[in-house]
Amino acid sequence: MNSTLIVARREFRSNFDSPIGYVVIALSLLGVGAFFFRDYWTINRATIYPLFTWLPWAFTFFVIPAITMRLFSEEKRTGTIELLITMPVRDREVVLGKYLATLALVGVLLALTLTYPLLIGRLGNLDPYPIAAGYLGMLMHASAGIAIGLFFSSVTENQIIAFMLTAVVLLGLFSIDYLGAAVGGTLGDIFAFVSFQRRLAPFGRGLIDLRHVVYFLSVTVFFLMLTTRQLESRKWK
Amino acid sequence: MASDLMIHTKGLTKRYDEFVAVDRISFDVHRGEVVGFLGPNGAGKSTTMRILTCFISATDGVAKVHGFDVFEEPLEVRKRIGYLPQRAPLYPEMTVHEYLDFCGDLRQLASGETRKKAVRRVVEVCGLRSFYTKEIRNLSHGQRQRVGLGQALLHDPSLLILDEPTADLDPNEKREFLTYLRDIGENRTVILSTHNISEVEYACTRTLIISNKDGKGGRIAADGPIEAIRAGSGTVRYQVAAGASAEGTLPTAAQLRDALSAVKGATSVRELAAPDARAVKAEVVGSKDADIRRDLRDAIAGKGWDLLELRRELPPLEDVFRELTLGSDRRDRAAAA
Repeated sequence: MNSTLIVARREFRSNFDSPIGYVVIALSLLGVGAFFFRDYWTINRATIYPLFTWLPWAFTFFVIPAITMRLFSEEKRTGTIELLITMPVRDREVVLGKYLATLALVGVLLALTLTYPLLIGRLGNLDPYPIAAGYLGMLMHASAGIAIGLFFSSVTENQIIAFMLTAVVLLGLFSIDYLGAAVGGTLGDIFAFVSFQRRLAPFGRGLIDLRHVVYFLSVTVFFLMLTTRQLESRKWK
Repeated sequence: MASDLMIHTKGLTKRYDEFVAVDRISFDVHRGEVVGFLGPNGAGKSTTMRILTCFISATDGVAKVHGFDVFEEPLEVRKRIGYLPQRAPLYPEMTVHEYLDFCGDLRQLASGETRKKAVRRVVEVCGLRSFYTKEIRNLSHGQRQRVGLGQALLHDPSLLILDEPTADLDPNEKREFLTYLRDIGENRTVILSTHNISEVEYACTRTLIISNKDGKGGRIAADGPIEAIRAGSGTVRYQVAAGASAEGTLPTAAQLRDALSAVKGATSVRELAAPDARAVKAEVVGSKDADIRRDLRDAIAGKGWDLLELRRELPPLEDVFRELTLGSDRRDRAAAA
């Protein structure tokens, strides 16, 4: 097994060796489920669109900051990073392993939300394409968010600070669209361009636009590279 | 580069802005040497070890391990070393078994019988059997230290770099571990940092003393076998014990000190604890180039006291260490105390 997968496997398991994995999944399912079914009864139609309205907010405020905050902060605080990095493993493999493990955790959470469409599907005809596209969008959003959270976890030993920084930046990127609409002009266009919400909305309606996929993947790669540089910076400081 | 040259450093320097942690350190370590890395806190021992294990980079200078440059080929270096950082940082949620397995995976140890044999060996050597299936969070400091040692030995490396490996071990565990190090040192290389001089005397064939005297960056203050370092200090100690005069009067400690201080060539005199009430004992420091035993004897005889003991010996490593590493201000404070 290559080093990235070895790091990823340990990291993924560690989510379930402590309450963090269970707590995040349980609270997310409870919160998103409550809002989803409230909206579902209001709409009174067989759709899971409300799921793709509320999940991004849960990801932004809670899920992603909570599951990324300890990734490097904890290792730096306890010193385990020194033993890990001095094994025959590259810095980028450590970063990628932690990223994949966290994405897999979000995958578990998303898989559990599949119970909603399965349930709704029994009540009426569900169009599978918007569901598949919606889930792809959520994965893209999570991917970019995790890379951002991973970066902030690598800059501080304090998990609370890492949580706050990630939540603030994700909230900014998600809701900057509102600001873009208010200011208008070129600045408004720039805000709309970087907005997660603007790019996520079409997925929920069943539209997979390659430009949006590339955008989320670009944010992911950019922040993973930034995290690797941050990890390497211990050498120069 | 000779094939048995395991570590080569030249002009190794690490600066943090204005602060110099390690200042132009140069040394070579060959196969089969067990090197004690001695130095006060903050002298740069851990920094040097972190450079050698590729955790941080040097600001200047060269460091090679097994002929591989630590900066250019860090993976090749890491494959060949076993490293235990200070305080043995481990993942608390894993069991000892899971942790060793994880390290075995990262070190690409072949699974199956080879892996089992390697694990069995470190379990035996480090005494992990009784808590092998326990979670690391439930282990004592000493047990964690032993797990840390286990991971460093798992791939049977030819070079071990251990940063204060005995810090949390009890005296029996310490002695067992040091004996093991001494044994494996015959065909491997070990660098061991410690504050404990007796550990170096027991287990190491060579001592490197690193000093940041008077606030300067860490530099090598002495390098060689312990006896050579003791001899190189330039001083010798005389142990003198005086008994009662013919009239039966035992000298006081002050009287003995005054009598010995008057001897030409005695640079300092201090009182020592006497073995019994029939003697007064003192230690005289003099130059290695002179032998003042006759003068000391005459000084005792001149006062009419009985000379019970007179011995000339090299200074203990501890005194040499203090001489080499204490800044002038701290030395004055220590002397005053």
